Amino acid sequence: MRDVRFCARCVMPNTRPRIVFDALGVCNGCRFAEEKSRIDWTARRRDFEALIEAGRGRGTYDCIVPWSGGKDSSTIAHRLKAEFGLNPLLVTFSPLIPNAIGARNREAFLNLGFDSIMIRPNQKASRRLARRFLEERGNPKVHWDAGVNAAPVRSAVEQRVPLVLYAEHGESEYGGRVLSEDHRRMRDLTEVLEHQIGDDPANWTDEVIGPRDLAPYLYPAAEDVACVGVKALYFGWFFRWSMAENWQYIQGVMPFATAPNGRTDGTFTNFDSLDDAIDDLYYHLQYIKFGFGRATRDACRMVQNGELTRAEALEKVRAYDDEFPSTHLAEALDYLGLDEAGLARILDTHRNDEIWVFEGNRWRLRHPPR
Amino acid sequence: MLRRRVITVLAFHDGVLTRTKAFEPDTRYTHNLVDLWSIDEIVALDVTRPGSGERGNFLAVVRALAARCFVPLAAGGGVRSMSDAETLLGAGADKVVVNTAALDRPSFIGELARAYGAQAVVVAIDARRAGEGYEVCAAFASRPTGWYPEAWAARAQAEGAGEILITSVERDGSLAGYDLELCRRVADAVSVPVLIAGGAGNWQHFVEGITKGGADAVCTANVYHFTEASIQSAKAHLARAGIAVRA
Repeated sequence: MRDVRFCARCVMPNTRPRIVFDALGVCNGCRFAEEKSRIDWTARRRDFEALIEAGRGRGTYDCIVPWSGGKDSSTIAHRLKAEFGLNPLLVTFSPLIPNAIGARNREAFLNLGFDSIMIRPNQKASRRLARRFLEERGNPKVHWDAGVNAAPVRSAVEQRVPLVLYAEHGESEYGGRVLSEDHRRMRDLTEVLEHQIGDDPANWTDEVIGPRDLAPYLYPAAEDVACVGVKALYFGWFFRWSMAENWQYIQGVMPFATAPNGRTDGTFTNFDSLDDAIDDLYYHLQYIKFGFGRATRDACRMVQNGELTRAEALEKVRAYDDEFPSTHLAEALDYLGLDEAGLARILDTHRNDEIWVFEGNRWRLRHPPR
Repeated sequence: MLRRRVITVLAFHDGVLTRTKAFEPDTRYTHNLVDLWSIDEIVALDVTRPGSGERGNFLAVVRALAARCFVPLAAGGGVRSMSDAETLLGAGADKVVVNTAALDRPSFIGELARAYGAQAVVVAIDARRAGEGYEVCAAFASRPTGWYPEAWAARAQAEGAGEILITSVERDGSLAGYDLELCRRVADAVSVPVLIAGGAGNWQHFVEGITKGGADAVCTANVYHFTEASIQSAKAHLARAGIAVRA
């Protein structure tokens, strides 16, 4: 698979891990978007109502919602309370570099009447892991991925709340590998380990980081999960998932702060992934490794929802994908213990020479989006 | 007692490093970061399906690995003839890995062993669960062969195999741990070293592969186990479990 191809409908390249293109050159993210319009959402809603009735009112909390304070998780939490009368416990795994926008949005949401738990792990270990994973895997947030996945399940066990409601199944929504129909409904914890994290966080010990430092990143023991009967479901299975609709919804219930410059580095949107000052670098690394940036990611989602044409998406991608994340760079460098030259050296080790070529004093994509 | 080995298995689809899941190629990722120093051995496998790539791209990978690494390098995937083996050894591989061609014609193993020595012949066996036991599969695990893995391993040894690489198709890419029973059956049937692959997710799985599976070497094909820090951490874990490994 040496040729880089782009989906005929959105603009996602086949360098996206696990994506599948069909004979007509359309990616499975786009095919899933079509499929969503044929789903009987009324029936799915009834299934959801039956499911929550079974567990309602057994304790203080009816369910756990993994919550960043962003538009998606806040919309889910709000709908669960307002539409279904549930009392969710919101569980937040702290961003690596929390910022004022995220804190403001979380506080504004809690003012609407929700309980939350925030886990902020040992920062000595977190910084060391961020630096290690930036160097080794081109992703400073591998451990955060592990933590954000483990924390709600651990809270479910500790609080004895058997229902966890995740947002959307990313592999279905955005193009990836769907292991089975049931994987779209119920979260498979091993799928997350295999696809996103890549190995067991217990492996991350070294001369400084001991087993105890890794506790925030580990799933609870399978027996404990089974004992409470924790079931993790995707909200997006029961209700049509749309980032744009979530964005509309959340603005209707609270004052939601957005990126101060009107958009975030590397893209044209201002409402997504705002709460961690390291995220702009994280998405830039996706561009370095796979050749598609944050604008591609955002534009494809909007094409799939009928909010952009392919031509408009291409325009956005060409304008923004390549932008270097400078706005929050100083904070990210401090967190990683690097200077700009050190970061540039690490970025270049992650450039895939099947995707990039150094020409005329700069890196160029061998296959620019078209 | 020989020291146990930790081996990195790299799967290449048309020269591009991939992970595999139940033998289907998965994520692409750069190979710039594979540590070629602290691992004990490297196995490079061409998993390109016939007709979907150029063999030259894999040979370029083998040459590049051979130039950069100073540990034994085994290469295979698509080795059907003596000249295929010759090409890989000429590209810098120390051993060749054979699978389907040996199943089709077991005497091929002996021909390779006589030409290059048994130490240069690794017979890879891919097996799936079947009833109470297991069945060997050929051609990217797409073709059942009717062989029990333990019987085929014994035959391969008799033909001249220097090592057996046993992989569980179901566990491939799963991180759920090796199929220890499969490994034990094969290890009990042969006296040559057995390399276990398919399913390693954490260091404890390595320990189990050796202590319970009876493996002489534990393999990981997971892209995130390739780095120096990971390998050092894995070896430290094995040493703490009382298993002699190379530093």
